[in-house]
Amino acid sequence: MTPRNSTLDARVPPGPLENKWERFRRDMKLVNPANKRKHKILVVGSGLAGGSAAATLGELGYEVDCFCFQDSPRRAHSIAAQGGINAGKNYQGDGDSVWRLFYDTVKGGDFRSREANVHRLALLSRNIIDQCVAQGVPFAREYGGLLANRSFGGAQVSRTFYARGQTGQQLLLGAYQALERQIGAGQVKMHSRTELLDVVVVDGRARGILTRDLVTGRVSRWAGDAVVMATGGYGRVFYLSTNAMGCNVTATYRAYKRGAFFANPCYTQIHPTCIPVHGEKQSKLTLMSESLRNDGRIWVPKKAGDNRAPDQIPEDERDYYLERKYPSFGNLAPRDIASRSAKEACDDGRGVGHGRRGVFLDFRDAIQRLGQDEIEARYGNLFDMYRRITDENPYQSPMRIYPASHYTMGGLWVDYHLMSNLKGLFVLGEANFSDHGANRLGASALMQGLADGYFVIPDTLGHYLGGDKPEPVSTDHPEFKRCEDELHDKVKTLLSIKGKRSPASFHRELGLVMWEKCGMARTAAGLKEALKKIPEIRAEFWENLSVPGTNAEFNQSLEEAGRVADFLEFAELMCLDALTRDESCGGHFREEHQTKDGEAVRNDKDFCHASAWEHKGPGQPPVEHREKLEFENVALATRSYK
Amino acid sequence: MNLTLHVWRQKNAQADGRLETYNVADISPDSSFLEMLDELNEQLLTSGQEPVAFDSDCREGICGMCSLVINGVPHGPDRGATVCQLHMRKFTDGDAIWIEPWRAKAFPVLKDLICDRTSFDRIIQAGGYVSVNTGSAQDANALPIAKPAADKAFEAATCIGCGACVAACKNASAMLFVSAKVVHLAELPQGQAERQKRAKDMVQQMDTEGFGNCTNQYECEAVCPKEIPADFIATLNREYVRAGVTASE
Amino acid sequence: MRGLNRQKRPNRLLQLAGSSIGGKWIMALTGAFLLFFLLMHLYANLLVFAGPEQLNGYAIGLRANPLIIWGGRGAVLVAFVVHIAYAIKLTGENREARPVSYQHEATVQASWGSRYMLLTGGLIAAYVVFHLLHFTFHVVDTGGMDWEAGTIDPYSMVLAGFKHPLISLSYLAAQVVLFFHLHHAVGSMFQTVGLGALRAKKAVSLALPALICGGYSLVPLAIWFGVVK
Repeated sequence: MTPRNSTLDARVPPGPLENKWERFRRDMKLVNPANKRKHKILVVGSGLAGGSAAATLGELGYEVDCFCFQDSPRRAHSIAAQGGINAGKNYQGDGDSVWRLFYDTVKGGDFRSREANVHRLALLSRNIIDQCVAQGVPFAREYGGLLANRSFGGAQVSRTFYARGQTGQQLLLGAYQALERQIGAGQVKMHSRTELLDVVVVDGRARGILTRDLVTGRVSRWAGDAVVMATGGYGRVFYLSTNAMGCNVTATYRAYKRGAFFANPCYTQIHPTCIPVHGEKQSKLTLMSESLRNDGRIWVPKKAGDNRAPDQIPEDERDYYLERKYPSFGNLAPRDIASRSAKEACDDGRGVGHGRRGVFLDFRDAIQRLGQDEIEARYGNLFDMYRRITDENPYQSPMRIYPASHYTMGGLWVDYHLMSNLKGLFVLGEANFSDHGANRLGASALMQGLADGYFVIPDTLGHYLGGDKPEPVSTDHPEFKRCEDELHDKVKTLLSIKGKRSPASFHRELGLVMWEKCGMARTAAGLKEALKKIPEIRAEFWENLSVPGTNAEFNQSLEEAGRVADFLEFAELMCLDALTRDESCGGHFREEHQTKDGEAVRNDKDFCHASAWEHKGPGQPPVEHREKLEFENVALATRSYK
Repeated sequence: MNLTLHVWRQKNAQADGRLETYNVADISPDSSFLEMLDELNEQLLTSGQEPVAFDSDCREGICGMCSLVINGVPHGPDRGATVCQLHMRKFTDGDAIWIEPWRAKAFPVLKDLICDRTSFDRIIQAGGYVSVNTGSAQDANALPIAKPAADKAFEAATCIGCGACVAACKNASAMLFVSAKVVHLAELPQGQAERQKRAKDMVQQMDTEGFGNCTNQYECEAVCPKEIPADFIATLNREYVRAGVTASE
Repeated sequence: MRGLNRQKRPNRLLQLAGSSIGGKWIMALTGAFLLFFLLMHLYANLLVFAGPEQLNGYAIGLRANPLIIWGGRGAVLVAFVVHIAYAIKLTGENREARPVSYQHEATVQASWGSRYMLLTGGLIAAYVVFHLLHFTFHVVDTGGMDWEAGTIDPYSMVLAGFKHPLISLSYLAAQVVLFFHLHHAVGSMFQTVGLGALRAKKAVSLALPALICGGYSLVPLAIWFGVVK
């Protein structure tokens, strides 16, 4: 398998980093206002990225059709982001700048992202806050009436804007309201409870999609001049994750099967402060804001198999492992480090709670120092949430936490214009791979989704339409029929297996394999094992799946089966990528590549690139293309949080 | 835990529905209510029967997708929580539990426990926004907003649009939902330009959708998972009449 | 623009009156007027304790001014009719808003009074008719009025009327019903016109009805226990 890089042109504008976006805007093609309404744009997904894109494209006058599988665009999983959104505003005068936000993001991504994209993200971050405030997003404010900021995820400046613990919700509602305004004005047609099931490619361009109406089961063809995909991440490949039940890889994976390259699927982020698994039947994990780590101390018993209650374990028999290993950052060590350390402690048999997969997050000292009232003021809602879920009182006994899959940095490969290698397919937000490299900083996901949707796509899409002037295509084109026939065959097969096992049971089985072998720490041997195991699960899936009912009705099992089928294929690609990337970086930790202290060891000589995978047809191994990452403005450094 | 479930089953929007009784066994008290339903569905699926359709997505109480009436109470017995946040330890072994969908003319049932809440989206379309195109915003700190106003706006903006207020209201009224959005935007300087028109248009759309009339019984506030106070409805009443009497169009 | 109601109605006030919130306002305003009438009526009733001259004097004074008596009666009648008509309209709409009811009904915090407004309202309306037939039209005659003489003596009429146990008991029962109706009505009124915090409303909605219904009940009780002779 020889990697190729001939086909990947990132189309980064020339010139100094600071001027690249301006340079692009200077040279970009425009679409005449009267012509915009002649262009139909299909926006798939209505979260922060898709919703803001659909709204803005509608405002500009394009004819937009927007699709989401939920019952309303307001439900997209962007809503669950708690912490905040970064912006290089420097309102606190503490030395922040666009450059510093850019640098922190590149460094946080462990030097595996594209410089030019990240710089643009930092630049546009400031406009996002302006836009959102104008929409009425109720950010936290100081008594003087100005916006409040906090430092988040160990950042040295206070650049995070927030709305209590519901920043994602408030930002999404801002985008949702802008979108609804366009729907009311007739500029955007919204298709909720509608799932994308295929991307139709005509003459090498994405020219349409196939959707299934989840209520009636009807499959529809949509032709357009461009497809904008903002369908989120694939964290549910682990089955248990902090993602919503409906989050899936189907849209991006089916685009991949139609020729779009999938980049860096092995980059996943595991969030350290989630509530641990309570049992086999669990469906979903709940994240608690990592702001808890500001005051909570993380520890496990020193002795393996210690069954004493936490208050029975004396101080000198506790291992505050993050403070011990990373004296300067302590409990605020980055997400990947904190997660991996928890896993190591539990692998040692020193974990606590159900299945010994948990560590203590202890507020005893903080309560003594600050008083219970202060802790309640800071974290009251999180403590309540913990108590509701676990039925334990975290004011009295320490919380138990464990890492969980949370965000995926990998996604469809896109160039500087956020266009995939498939012309006319634009990919925004978590669905693309571009801005976070191998690891995402806290409060950066919201920033990226909105930068892509509000500010990047309106310009780059116009440039595409104005420059390439795609020929009209109708849904009568034979390619639509071919794709629809394939789709019907697939659905028919899913319904005709009539086996004994539910789609969820296969998903859970796959998730366990992925979590064990391709989760927080990976080895070549483990990945090979997974690559052997996944096809076996997939084979049984196609023989022993139970999907009652028909296609022509509201059929949640059928929806789920289709998504699980895609996860079962995608998981293999993910393991292959993890195996191929023979280095440790960011969220991708290969046990073979670590210092004797357990630090990740990057290999910049051989792996300073993005791996973009090309589908070669069923049964064929995918082909890797490499986009070399050039760092002209920052020096590749080794992260150190000691 | 062993439980008897009386679950509303309805094939589609046109069909008549009925309560069906199921038994589930060995439910962990640490399970969430929805995980308990997952188990019921697993049981139905493996025996080739159609699982119970219900909505849920984030399962952490913020997306507003889940929508079950449990023993007559939307989102079940826990106050200030969605049903996905409800845990089985709140029930007792041997309990019989009635599970029904939201019921309102404006929320027609699509299947089993799933209803169509797009009427809420249309109410927002009628005016639940600030008309500001992308790119035309001034600097975010150019306009200070007093903290109490910002906090009140935030409190109103926490509405997750789940529709429990409608489901709980004896008259299936959507006043709490509408008032939350009207108050959110009326509290902020950005919302002033369209303040009167917004109140008028949103209420008019609410009426058109076939929601009932508020009779001040405050069932909405009692079941709201975000505990949005019915005081906001009083504000809406005032805003609406002021708009009706003085609005220029 | 599916479903969006963008048609402009000609008259702003008509539009208000036809809307759900307009309907609430009309219920609240007519209710407020009826409440005012109840308070005025209560004032007159309590004159019983001041003796026959006071009460009869008040009645004679009222009758001497046709504008007040007929204007007042007309206004109360209009308020009653509008209040009842809107109650029927709104309740009809409310029933329509939930075509399929819950199989398992439950109530979390709605007060008893709030849930049976139509019932209590209907009972009150029925009692008012009886009350008018009794004290105003004298179709139900319990004595105490000397029609031949043509003198106005409400004091004797009231005393004679409440001497009848059935009259007194039904009157007291009506006060209980009225209390439940007013208990919800008063708080509702403040809520509808957008006044006051909920807690204050809850206090007033107990105190004011208690005052009114308690005040009314004093008269038959005083007559029965011989305080007023």
